[in-house]
Amino acid sequence: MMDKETEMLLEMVEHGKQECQLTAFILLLEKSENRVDWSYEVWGKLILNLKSPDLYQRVGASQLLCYLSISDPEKRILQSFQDIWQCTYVPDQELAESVLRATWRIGLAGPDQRIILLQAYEERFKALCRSGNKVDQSICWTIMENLEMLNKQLPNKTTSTLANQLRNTEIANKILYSYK
Amino acid sequence: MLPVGEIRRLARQTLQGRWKEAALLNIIPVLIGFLIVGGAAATFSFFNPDFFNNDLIFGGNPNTDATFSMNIREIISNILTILFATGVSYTLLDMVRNPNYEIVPLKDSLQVFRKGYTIPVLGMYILQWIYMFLWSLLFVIPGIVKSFSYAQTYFIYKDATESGHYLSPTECITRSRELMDGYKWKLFVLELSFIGWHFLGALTLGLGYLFITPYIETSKAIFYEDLLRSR
Repeated sequence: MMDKETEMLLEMVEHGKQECQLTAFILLLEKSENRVDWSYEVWGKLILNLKSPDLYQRVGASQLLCYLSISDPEKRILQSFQDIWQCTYVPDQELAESVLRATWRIGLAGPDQRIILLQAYEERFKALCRSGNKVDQSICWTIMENLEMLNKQLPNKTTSTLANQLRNTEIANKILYSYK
Repeated sequence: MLPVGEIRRLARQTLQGRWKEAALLNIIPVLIGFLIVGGAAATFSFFNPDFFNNDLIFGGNPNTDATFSMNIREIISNILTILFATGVSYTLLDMVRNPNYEIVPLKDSLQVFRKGYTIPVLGMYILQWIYMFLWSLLFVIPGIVKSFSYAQTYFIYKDATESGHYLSPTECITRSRELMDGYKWKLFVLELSFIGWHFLGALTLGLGYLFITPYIETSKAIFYEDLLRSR
């Protein structure tokens, strides 16, 4: 059951002034880093927002769903993963990467969630690995970082194998060289 | 942790029968606001310059970051305000911890000067300002979120000093950040719950802040106590 304080925070996310909205949203994400019992009270709305024509709504919903995936015992995230993943392709690079940076949290939710996440990471990385484009390289860098964070938080052989595999590619060395 | 409503109820309970003393405690800082900056604008931002100066609640142009474009008058006002405000909040924390604490308004509002905390408090204020400025440059996390991280800095300094430990301003800020980890949202909600009171303060041209500020600051002191207990 959602408490009044969370309700207030959500209210501010939806109807607050611009900067207040952003602050409330960031704090809501932080709150959702731990398991919460109100995830399904907002889940339906977030799924609707994933299809919204408003880019910010889609991106916001994607991020929050990634965070809430640890509070999703029914594994509903599996049905929405593709929509969330689509948000990592939005034309605004900053927004796309903000979603991508949140996706590793899906891997914390359980083995099934981790499998589709790692698969998506691997495919994306391989698709971009020959690109010399800075944006693509940045995405590859984020994927490597995400894998490291996931493995640090929840050590797992599949995750570490993929992380090592990607880190040892030619592009990874190039990116690591340019980012360090 | 205690619900926000309960924190506010405890704050009212703590202040019961002592509103007059608590209001007198605030006279000096409020007068500074009036004399140096003038009117409600100063008292509006009193005690919480980052939260309300940024027009978060009351609208305004988000591109104009009031916190980082201060003139000399504002700088002087901010320095004086932070010194007196810290003294006031320390007094209110003492009152929360000791229900029999007797407020001596003038003496207590000067406690930062009396106890020799002036330089460390200014150091913490300047460091926080620099950190928040740097965060705001990143555009990823607004400085305001960081201001919640640093919210307990002054209380931590007081507790450490009074228990005989020296903590540098940076250490106080770091401890505050750690203490607030996972609870920033709660302080944000607590701040939001006072919106109506801020409107009332504005309607009374800032005079209402004589009573509103002790209420808010006592609530924050209770929040800090509760935070320490729950950690």
